[in-house]
Amino acid sequence: MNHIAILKGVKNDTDRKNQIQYLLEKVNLFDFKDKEAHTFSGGMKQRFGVAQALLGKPKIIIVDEPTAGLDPEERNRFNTLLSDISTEIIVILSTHLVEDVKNLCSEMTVMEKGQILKIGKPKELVAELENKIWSKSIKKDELEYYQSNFHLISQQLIERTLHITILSETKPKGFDAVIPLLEHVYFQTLA
Amino acid sequence: MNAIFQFELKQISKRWYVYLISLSLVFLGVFFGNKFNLTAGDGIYLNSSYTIGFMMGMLSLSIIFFAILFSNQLLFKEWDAKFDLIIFALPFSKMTYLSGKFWFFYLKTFLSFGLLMLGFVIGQNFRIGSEMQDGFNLWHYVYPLIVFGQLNCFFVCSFLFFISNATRKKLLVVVGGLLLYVLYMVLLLFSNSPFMSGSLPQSLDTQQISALLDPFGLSAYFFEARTFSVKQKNELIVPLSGMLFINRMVMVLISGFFLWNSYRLFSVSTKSSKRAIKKVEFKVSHISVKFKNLITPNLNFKSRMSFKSVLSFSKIDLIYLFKSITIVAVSILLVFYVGMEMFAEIDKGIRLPENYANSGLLATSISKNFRLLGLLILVYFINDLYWRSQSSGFNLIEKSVYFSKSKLKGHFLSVTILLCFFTILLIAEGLVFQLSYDYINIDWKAYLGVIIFNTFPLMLFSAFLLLINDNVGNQFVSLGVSTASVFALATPLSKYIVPYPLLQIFSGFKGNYSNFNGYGIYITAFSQRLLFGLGFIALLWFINDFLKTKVWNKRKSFLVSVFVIFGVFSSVLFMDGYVPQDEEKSILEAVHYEKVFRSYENIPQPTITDVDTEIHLYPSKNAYQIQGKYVFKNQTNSLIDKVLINFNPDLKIESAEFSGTNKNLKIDDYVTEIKLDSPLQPNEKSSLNFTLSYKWVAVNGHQSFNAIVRNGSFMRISNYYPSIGYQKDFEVEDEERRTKFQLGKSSGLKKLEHPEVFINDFINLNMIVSTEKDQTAIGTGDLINQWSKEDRNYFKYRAKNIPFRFAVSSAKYQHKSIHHKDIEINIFYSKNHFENVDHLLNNAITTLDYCIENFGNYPFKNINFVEVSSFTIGFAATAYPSAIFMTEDMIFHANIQSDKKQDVINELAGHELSHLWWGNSQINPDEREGATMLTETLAMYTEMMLYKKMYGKEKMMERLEIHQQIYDNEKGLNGNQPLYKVTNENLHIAYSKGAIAMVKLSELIGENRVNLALKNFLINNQYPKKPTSLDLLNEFYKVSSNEKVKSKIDKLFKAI
Repeated sequence: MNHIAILKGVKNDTDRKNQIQYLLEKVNLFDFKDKEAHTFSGGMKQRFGVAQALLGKPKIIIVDEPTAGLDPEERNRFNTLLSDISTEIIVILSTHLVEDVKNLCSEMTVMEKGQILKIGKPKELVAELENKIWSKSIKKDELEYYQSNFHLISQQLIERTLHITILSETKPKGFDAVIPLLEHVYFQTLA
Repeated sequence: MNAIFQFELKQISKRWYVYLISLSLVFLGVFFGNKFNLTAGDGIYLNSSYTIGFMMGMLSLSIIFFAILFSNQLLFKEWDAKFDLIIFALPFSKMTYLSGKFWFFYLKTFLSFGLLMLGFVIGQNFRIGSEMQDGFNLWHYVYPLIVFGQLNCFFVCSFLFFISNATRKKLLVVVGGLLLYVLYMVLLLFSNSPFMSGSLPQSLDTQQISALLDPFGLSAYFFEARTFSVKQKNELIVPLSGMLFINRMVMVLISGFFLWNSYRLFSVSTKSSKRAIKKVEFKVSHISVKFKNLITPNLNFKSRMSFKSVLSFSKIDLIYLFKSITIVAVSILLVFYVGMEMFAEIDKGIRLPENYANSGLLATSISKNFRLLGLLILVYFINDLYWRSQSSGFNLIEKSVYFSKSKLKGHFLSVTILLCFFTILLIAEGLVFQLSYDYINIDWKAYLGVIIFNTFPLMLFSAFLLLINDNVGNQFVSLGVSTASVFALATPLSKYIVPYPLLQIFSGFKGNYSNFNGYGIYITAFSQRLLFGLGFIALLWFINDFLKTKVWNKRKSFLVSVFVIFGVFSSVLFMDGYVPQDEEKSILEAVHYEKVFRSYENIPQPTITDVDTEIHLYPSKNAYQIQGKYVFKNQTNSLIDKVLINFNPDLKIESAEFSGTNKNLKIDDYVTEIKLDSPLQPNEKSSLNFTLSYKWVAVNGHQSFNAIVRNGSFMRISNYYPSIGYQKDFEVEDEERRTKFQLGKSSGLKKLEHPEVFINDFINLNMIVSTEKDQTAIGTGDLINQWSKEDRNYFKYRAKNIPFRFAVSSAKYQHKSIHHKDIEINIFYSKNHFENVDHLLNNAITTLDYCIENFGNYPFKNINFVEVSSFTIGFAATAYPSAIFMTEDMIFHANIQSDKKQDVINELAGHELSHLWWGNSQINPDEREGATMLTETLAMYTEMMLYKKMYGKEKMMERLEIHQQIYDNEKGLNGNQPLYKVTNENLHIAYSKGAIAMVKLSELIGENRVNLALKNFLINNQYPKKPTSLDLLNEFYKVSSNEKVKSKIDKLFKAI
């Protein structure tokens, strides 16, 4: 941490020491400050990554899939940390965990192949899909029929049965209404 | 076939650059085979089975470097690619994996070596000339390829394989390889190889041990071939028997042992489960996240911060280096290697006693040996340090910060500190050697040379290596390029690649440290070249920095200009006075000389009768000036109408004038034909006046026999004076070239049976030598007068009736003298070399007494033993009328008190002093076959008789035994001649065989009779007669009682 802090231009020795101590406490690694980095568990390595990124005076932090591989408890802790940081610094989070986006982010975009497809606040984007999402359980061989006749946005297995979700202005026959989720925004944007 | 093996094979056969590299290896081999001339000895062909075997053995060294390179690439592949977790989960056995890996590793290394050898054989067979014998015998090539190539490859590969499996650390594998290299070099010292033995053989025991232990088999090879004659070496292969067989078998067994242990120790888990992991209890406190405010510090990006960032990079490197076991291993390796070399420099084998362990000896030992090993260590360390952040994945973080640009500078700093560490370690080792050999006089200037000749060039090279690593995108490729650049730019090979001396910035210094003269002007010149190198490398760094960061500013412009200006300035100083050596041009000149002037062999020429000369020495400027006057006389019965005068091209002709009978003709060409207006009558005289000057600069190097240096100068100055008539020494010697230029037969050495010769070619010499005010000059002949004037010292010498051969020396001398029987014995020596002075004086007295009593009067008034600096190489001592010049680093300052108690001072007193009877003073042997017998053999005889007188017959026989060994060694390398027809090159016959023959003669007819014969020989063959070995044999016959004795004498001197 000291090495990276110097490389980032933190000149004063005391300033450096203070900031490192603060950050290590913040990410809860202070007790492990003398342990060698390559011996850290996955979660510890991620937290170290955040700590070193915060050294100096960053104005923006970009985190790419930060909770991949972490168990649920660590994930929650990590998200709380990110949220805390975001009160002072801009945090750009890139993730496939839609839940995290919903819980943490004030603004979001959906991107594909480097192009931005949709921008907006998560709540508003979800609200746009109010009363337009319907779902039904079907048999596997019926899939083709539904794909060609409806605007299919996703399919998934729930308790071993195939469920499809479609987008439609009006309620189609045999379908149940579904409360729209951010996930549906994702599927709908990419479909 | 083993699937692992197959996979590797497929991988490399798919890549096109593999074929390119294979082709380059072959071409490299062709280049070596064609250009390099490593003859084992005179008369042994380059493509004799002996030489081929020896070459392949020596070139097995390259196997080590191939193996290190490939081991890094192949044996760590799974872990480097992070594929280990996948591949080791597959169901193949440990044996399959290990054997596949090992055999592929072995195959790749052996093939690389094989390709190199293939090229070498091709290149060699394209040579035509006397050094190649006709015919091509495939088995002569295949046999050493198997015995050396295959088995050495097997050994090296199994050793490195073992290390990689046991330690899993790349750097340790490298260290293992370097250890093999060091072992190879050390054993070469003790193996009695044709290069090393010469007149310094190792004892038979040492040879045997070395033959057993040498992992490359070369020592055993030499040992088995030591009794082969030249003919046998040309025709027979050295059989796989005796020590060679034992050695090869032992090595195969050891290799097998390494392989078995590799199997045992190999484990796929990266952590060693056998060691107990230190469990440190970390108490985990309170888990919730604290919501504090972010403290933002002040940031600074100015130059002080830049410096701090460099320090930080460096700290990371140094912690890594010094914490690992690698640094310990490398240090041990260095200390061991340099230590062995130091030991060898002190202990000189069986012929010479130990040298004193003085600082100069140890410092030059470090300079000769640290550099190359240091370079190789640097290549691997720098590669490892540079690529460390990439292989650990840390570079992603490192590259995201502002000061990532300080990385290169940080590495440079850490490597510099590492180099300082090694330097201090080695200097400390030198000091330890000094203390243990009880030589407490420490000369710090000598050790300064270690820093200037080693540490600084190594620092420059590390900067260069960092540039390579920064610009080559792949770790392994940059390792290969780095290794190649070491061989191309920093070894003696660089002379062929960059022949311009200024550009050899990474070269070391192979010269001597003289107690008279230190490193001479070489240290200044070397520093100038280093400064140029610094400027050049700094420029490259700035360019690299600009290319990477695209940032340029005024500060950088200023710095670059400073470096460039210093560099250019130093380069101008360094190259001032450079004269390129052009071999082609000098051959053409020699051919031209012979074609135009050979006719002078048969044209009568005048003979020099008197030489009056003033020699003004300027040691502090490395220069001197000669003013000379020859008086010559037509001693023939014909008229002389043209005279051929040859000046030495190394000296500048300031003026030269031939005063003929009427006109004075000016000369300004190095070879001049003077056509006289009126021919010189028989007995008529004329004269030649000339002024010559000489100065040398460091970039051209100095000549050993023309060494005008700050202190301890020595010049065989008569060699540089003008000569009259056709000089057959100028002729081209090589047979092949002579045919090419249609020169016919060379003048050659006169046959022994040529008729008797009487020539009046002795001169009267009047010489005034002057030198700078703190020095004493010694000339040739008797000292008539000395005085001082205007800050210079003048010495006047005179000698009557001596051959045209005189020398001069000058130094700050201490002086001790003894008066004995009307002869003054003087010793002039350097202040710190007092140890053997008294002993020499006593020996000289004994020798004088013996020679005067048995052979005749001493022809001069004094005897001067004069020490000269080690800048003169080529003899331990050399005798001139009334003066014997001794170099400081051979016999005069040897430690004769050391445990072997070899009194070599006797060589100085006995041998050299007796030259004043035998050779060039009282008799002047005719230049023909057998001439050396009259000088060196008789001097050896006197030396032996005196040794017997002082130490008893047994001790003398021990010395003689050593000469027997030298003779036995050399005769297998250089052919044989009967003693009475010995030629100049066969010193081992004139000295060693001669000594043995003469001692046997003294046992046959008695020492007194031999001495009587010698005394008569002198009386009956005085100047102007030029005696031959037949004259000497005649005298031996005269004192023999009967025919049986005479035939025994013939056997001693005429048989081979």
